[in-house]
Amino acid sequence: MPASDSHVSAAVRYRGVSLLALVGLFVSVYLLLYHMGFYGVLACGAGSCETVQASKYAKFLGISVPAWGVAFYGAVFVLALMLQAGRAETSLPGRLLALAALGGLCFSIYLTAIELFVLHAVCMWCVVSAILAVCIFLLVAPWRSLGGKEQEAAA
Amino acid sequence: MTKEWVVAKQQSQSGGSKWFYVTIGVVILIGAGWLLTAGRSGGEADELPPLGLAQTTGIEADASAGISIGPDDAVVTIYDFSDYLCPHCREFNSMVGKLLRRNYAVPGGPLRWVSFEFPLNDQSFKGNVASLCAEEQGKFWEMHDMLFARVENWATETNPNGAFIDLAKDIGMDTGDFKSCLNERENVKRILESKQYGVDLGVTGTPTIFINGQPVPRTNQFYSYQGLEEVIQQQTAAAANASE
Repeated sequence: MPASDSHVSAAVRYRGVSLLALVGLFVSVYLLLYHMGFYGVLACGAGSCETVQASKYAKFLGISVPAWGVAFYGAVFVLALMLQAGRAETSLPGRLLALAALGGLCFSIYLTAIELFVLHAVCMWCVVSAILAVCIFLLVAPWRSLGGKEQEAAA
Repeated sequence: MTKEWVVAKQQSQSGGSKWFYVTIGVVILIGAGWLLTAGRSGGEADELPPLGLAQTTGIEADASAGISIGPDDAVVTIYDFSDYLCPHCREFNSMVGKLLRRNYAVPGGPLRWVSFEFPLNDQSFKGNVASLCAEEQGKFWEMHDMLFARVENWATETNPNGAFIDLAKDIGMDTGDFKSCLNERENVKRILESKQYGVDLGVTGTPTIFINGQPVPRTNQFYSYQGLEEVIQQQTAAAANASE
């Protein structure tokens, strides 16, 4: 019974991750389309989106940050779908998702720090993305799959 | 573990899975709808970010709020509504606009280019102030190009006047007068009029151009050098035929 409970709990968590990643994917696609010129102005009810998007930090390693977002949320969405369907947390997709969640959290912290301490401008969409990354991290709980051997041994 | 418990659990999982996929579908539909309509709703005049100094309520404006280059009787007049912090405005002005102005907006040439200040936020507004202060010394276009080219130098500065003064030095301006102008903000009214004129014309985002009074959709080919050059050449040929 504990194993079944754990499986159900994991499925629910990964479904949550899938939904959050899907929302993040749309936000990233929106910002990417803005960067590509499909939208003339960002809908930014609060904050300084244009200032942030026009800064040199809007690119990372020569690629626009929204493009990184699309790749990140796209990967998390696919991996979480695989895991919610029953793949083990310690399988390759589980470990990749754990690494992605950890990377997403670190990148979000970096971007938020840049906004707060360097640009002194906050973009509403960046805040949304950072919140999503934190929620994904907490739901994925990377310490479970990255420390999987101990868990498997314990089970 | 009883058999009933296992069956109930499996049914519960199956039901949950069904609802999960339904939810995914709904999210995809909502997201796709949002992306398709965002270009329109995002640019509505009444949904623009708070502008502070750049509030345009109650301002009356006309085309004289713009700053033009090129002959008054040019066969093609382009109105350009741009924001200095908008990446596409930067791309459009730094590449397409600059080249067209250099090649066609010359004495006796076929193009008159009118630039209208259209700040989308308070930081952009500071750039507009700098450009109009440069205009007082006949250096508007030089400052206009510099504000786009070196946007990184001032876009994130709480007080970007120092960066503006550096730009002014680089284009050979009298920085004393320029500095006074920045502090006095005497051009605020003109910026508000310029923006209001765009709002009156229905400008909902930047960059937006009008060719001989006709608005051009932003995703249109006319935002390319080739597209605009073709229009200029066609209009020039049509004017030549009409005069024969």
